[in-house]
Amino acid sequence: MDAPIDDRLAVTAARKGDREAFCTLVGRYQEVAFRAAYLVVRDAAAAEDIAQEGFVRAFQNLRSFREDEPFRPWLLRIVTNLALNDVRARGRRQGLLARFARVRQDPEPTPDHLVLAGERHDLLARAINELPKDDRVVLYLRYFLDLPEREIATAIDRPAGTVKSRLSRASGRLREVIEQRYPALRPEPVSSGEGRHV
Amino acid sequence: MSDQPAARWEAVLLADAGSAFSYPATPDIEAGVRLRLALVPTALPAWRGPIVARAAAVALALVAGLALVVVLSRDVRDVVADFLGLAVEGERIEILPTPRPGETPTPLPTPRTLESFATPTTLESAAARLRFAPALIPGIEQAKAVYIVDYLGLAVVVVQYERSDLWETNGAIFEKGVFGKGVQVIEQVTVNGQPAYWISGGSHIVRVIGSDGREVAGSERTVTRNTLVWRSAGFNYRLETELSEAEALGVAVSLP
Repeated sequence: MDAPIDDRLAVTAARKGDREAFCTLVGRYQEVAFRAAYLVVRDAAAAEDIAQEGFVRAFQNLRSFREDEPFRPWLLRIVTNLALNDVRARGRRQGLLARFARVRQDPEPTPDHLVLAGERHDLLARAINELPKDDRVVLYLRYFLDLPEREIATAIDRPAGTVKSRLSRASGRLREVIEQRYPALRPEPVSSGEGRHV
Repeated sequence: MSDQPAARWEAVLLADAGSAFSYPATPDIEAGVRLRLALVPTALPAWRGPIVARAAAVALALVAGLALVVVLSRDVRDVVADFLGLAVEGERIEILPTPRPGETPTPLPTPRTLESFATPTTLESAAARLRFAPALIPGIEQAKAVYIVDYLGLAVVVVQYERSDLWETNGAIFEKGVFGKGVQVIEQVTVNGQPAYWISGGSHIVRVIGSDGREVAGSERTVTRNTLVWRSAGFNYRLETELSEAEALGVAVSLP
C-alpha cells in the first residue's frame, strides 16, 4: 500500500492539477474543516456545504498558498471566512439564538442542536455568540479545535506575535459578557472556613 | 495585583466546553469535493516562484477584473483593453446583448449599504490588520466611519465620508471588475499618470475578482453613485462618490 504523502507534496502535486493529491488533503482535513464551519454556523447541513466549498476554493486558489505555511490553518481561514459570510448573509445568528431558546424548552434534541454538555455549556455557548465574530473564531480555534498559536495566526491572517493578545482580548470580552449577562457561569468563590462539598 | 487567577477561570471554562463539545458526525465531504473538482477547469498553471506567480495572479485578476456587461461601443472596449495593458479585447470583456425593443433589461441587484456587509473598525485597527495606514482624503471632508470587508481572508479597508466611500487594498487578489448597465459614461482618465476609470451617469455593478479569475462570492454590489477606480504605488483604490469627475480626480491625486 502506498504511504500517505505529506501535505507539502500533496499541495505541490495539486498545484499542477493533480486532483487525487488534493483529495488526500480533503480526506485528511475534512473533519476539522466541517467542525470549524459547524462551530460558526451551528447547522450540520450548512457546515457540510461550507466545508465542501472551502476545499474547492482552496484548490482553486492554491496559487496564493505560501509553501512555507502549513495547509491546515490556511484551509481553516477559507472555511471560517465562508462560514462567517454565511452567518452574515442568512442572519443565522438570530436563528441560532432562537434555536437556543427552543433547545432549552425542548426535551427532544434535534440532530443539529448545539450539543454542549449541561446548562453551563449551553450558557457559555450563548455568551460566546454575543462576542464579535473575530473573537468567536479565535476562541473556537484555540479551545474547541485545539489549534496551536502559530496555526491560529495563519488561520486568522495575523502575525504570530499577536495571537496571544487576541486570545487574551477575546477571553477578556467573554469574561465581561459572562459577568454582565451570565453570572451563573462565574466560578463560585472559595470560602476560607468550611471548604466545599461536592 | 493578582488578576491572573481571576483571568484564568474563563479559559478553564472554555477548555472544558471545548473538550466536551459534541459535534455531529462528519459527513463524507471528500465525495462532494471530488464531484466538484471534476467540474473545475483543468490544470492550474505550474508554480514558477512567488514573484512570477504573483505577477501572473495580478495579470489574471486584471484580465478578468475589468469586464463590462453593458452594451459598449468598440471604442470603449478598446479603452478597456488599453487599460488592462493586455491584448484581451474580445476575450475577457463580456458584453450583454442589446435588449430588443420592448424588452426590460435585467434589473440590477438591490443596493446594499456598507453597514450590511462590512465590519466597523477604527483607523488604528485597520492599519494593524492591513499593515498599512489607510489613505485619508485630506482637507475637504472628515471621515465618518471605517470598515473592513473580508474577501476570503483578504481585507479591504473602506473609509466612509459624507459624500464618498474610499476602498483601498494592496492585495494581489483584489481587483475591480466594473460591470455597467445603463451607465452613461465610462471614461478613461489618468491619476498620477496611471490609467484610471471614471464611471458615471447611472447605477452599475462592481465585483471583486480573485486571482483565479473568478468572482469572489458575495462581492457583487450595485453602486448608485459615480465610481473612480485606479491603482497607485501598488495600492488599488475605488472611490464611490457623489463628487464630480474633476473633484474625484482631485481627491485621487491628493492621496499620499
